Amino acid sequence: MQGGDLDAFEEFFNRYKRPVYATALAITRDPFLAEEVLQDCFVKAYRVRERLDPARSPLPWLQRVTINLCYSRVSRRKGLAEPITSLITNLVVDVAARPDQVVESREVLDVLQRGIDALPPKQQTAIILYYLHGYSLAEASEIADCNVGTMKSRLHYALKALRIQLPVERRVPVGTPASVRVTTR
Amino acid sequence: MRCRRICRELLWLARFGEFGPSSQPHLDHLAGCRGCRDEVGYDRAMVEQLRIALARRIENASPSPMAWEGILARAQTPEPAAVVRVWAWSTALVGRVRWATAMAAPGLALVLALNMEIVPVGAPSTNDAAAAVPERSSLQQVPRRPVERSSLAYLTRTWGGSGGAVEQPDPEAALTFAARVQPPARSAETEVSEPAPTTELRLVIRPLQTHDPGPIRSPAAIEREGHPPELINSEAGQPS
Repeated sequence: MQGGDLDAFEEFFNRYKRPVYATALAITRDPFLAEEVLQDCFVKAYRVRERLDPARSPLPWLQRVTINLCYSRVSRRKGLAEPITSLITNLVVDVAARPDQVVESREVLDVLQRGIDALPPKQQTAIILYYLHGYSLAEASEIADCNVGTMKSRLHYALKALRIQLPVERRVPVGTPASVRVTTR
Repeated sequence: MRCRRICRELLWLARFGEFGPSSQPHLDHLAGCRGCRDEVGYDRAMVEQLRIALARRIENASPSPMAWEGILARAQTPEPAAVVRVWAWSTALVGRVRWATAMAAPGLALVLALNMEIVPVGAPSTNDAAAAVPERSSLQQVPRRPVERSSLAYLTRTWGGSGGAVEQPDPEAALTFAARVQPPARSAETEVSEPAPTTELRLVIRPLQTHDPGPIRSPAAIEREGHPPELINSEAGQPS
């Protein structure tokens, strides 16, 4: 591919198209936009092919370009917080006794989806790399161009933010008896 | 260690799979604390659901066969010239700064229209807690810029005692800004004979009082210590 061989480039594309497309789709949630990002990413890779180090996997570079392209296209949807709040109030509750039962509900998945959308881009990137692609902390931090501690911190705050979106009665202090917890409907 | 702190550390360890020999006290606590078990269990369940939610985003996702054709067509076309790229970049830059400019321009226009001048006036004396706003004399110690219609506002800050900058910031001191607004003179005669009144808007930023105020004393105790009864009345909020 370094020499401009199109067959090699096609092989390169077929090898890496899925993770790149998955990242783009996870961020944008729009198949058409994700495909545009995919095309831009591989066209860019082809244009800078001489500069890609053949000794290293190009996937971190491709992922980084994909993430940057996604966020340069997607305008942040600011109006998400309000629907989340209204959704939370309608959630099925009784979290105190069996948390696992609650998080199985579809509503919680919806809340999580909206919560992911509402996260700041860096935290969103962190959870997509770590929890969706299953990259290690070191790999994810390399793609996100930060150190491991920063990546952990982003993941921590992302989970914290998502947790806040979940039913309000889970926010009571640890150790409070279940009977004291107030249910909001 | 408090349960809440242990729980926070447990969540951190569990999220990143960092349990090791040093985590034994945490695990011991986890074995005996139902609240922490609930928290960690809930967190793990939430992460599982997060993985499911993320996986659903890309369920059966695959780029269309047209994608490769599009890439191939674009890859074979020559790259746009540098001039075109610079133009595209500059257009994008203009778009980004447009909002910032739109917000800044009315602010600047307001400052100019009101003939506003923002000057540092220092902090009030910390001895007098009620004196959040500095005395008039402290304002006079600051060299004032001549107030003109076209003067630009400048914003600086000064830490320290009344009216003057000091070397070391005093955490007890307040940060005070004053904006002087002088309406434009109607005519040259009125400006000479009767200067237009200046309105001063003050912003005092005072650090939180963290010192211990001491035990609450009864008025009788204060009186025994020799304070005049007037002070007692005024402290209690009653007219003396």
